[in-house]
Amino acid sequence: MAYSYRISGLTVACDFPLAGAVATEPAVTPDVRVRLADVPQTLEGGAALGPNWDMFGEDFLLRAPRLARFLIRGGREIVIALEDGATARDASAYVLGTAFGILLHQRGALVLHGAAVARGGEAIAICGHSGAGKSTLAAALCRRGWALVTDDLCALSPGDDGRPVIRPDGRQLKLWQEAVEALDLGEQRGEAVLARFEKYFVAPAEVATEATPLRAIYVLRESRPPLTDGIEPLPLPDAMHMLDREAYRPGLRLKMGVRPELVAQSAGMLAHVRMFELTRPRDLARLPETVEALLAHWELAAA
Amino acid sequence: MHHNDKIIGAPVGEDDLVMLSVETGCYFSTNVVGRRLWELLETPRTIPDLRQAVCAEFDIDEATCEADIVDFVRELMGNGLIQSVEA
Repeated sequence: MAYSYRISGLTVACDFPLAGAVATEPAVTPDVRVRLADVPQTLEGGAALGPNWDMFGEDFLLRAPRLARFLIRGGREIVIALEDGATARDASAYVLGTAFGILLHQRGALVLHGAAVARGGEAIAICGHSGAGKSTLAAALCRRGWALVTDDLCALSPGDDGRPVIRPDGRQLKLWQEAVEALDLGEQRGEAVLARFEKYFVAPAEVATEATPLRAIYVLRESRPPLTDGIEPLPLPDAMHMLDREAYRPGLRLKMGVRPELVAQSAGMLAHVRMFELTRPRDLARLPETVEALLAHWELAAA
Repeated sequence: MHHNDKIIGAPVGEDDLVMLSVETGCYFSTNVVGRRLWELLETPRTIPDLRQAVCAEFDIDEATCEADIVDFVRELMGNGLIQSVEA
């Protein structure tokens, strides 16, 4: 039996349930198949891109030590060979994260590592390094009536009018327990992301279902002296640099892509999307201030 | 002078241009006139060539135009984005 999902606009059929993904109706011909089968240790004739990555033509092999080997093929298929003692449940996070990120790169999407939320038919993306507070800020905006679009994988593709659109990554928010408590989301809290891990899946109140045009990207930064709180537009060269940095697995994107094409892709996107640096305190008690500043900024930009 | 081979340029919307120096990883940007100059520099050009082309297309007097072009070219050369070639 296959489990069905919709991730970044793609219909997915998987041999096992993907923890943290929201199940959907099965598609007649899914865009992506995820299955358990044997996978070689290395790719014959392939180039080693890193200690745990090989690439050969349209095939990409990812080795997660003591967990599994993932063969990601032509943007259409993820084949998984579990290592001894590992379970498919353990592999879910990798499938939804790195493996799907690579698959989207194979399909030529510009993939940002970020959460995105929408209101009034337009979305904003929130980027920043791991642990920067992307999901927490997205959850706080969802509390204020915004719809969740993505928690983690923010794949951009050109919409009908040329503006980039993002499609839901089909998953729940991942929040640390302290953020669940600060946002009073206890009732929506689900199971733990990983066993013995104080991070939980949280169902947002409202989830976007359609492709949503992206209006702006905010890159999170902690305000420590001498940095002060505020939202500043990024000049073009800085925005280009930031897109390279905030891409999902940026090193892989640069190695898998052709540089002039990647530059053209980022530049094409910045014709439509504005990019800002959002400097704010990380203290959860001061999260409401950040939310107010962001909402005011959004209203001002819309005026 | 003309483009350095190790530079990637890409248009942003109708007016702007970003350039990446592959060697240093640094990005640069310029406005509509700079973008036009960049396009012209796909083939080797002299300063007078550039001035003539820009004055024909934009509303600017020749003296200001040449001074601005010299500044722009100096900036590009300083960052290794263009190079001079033998005439």
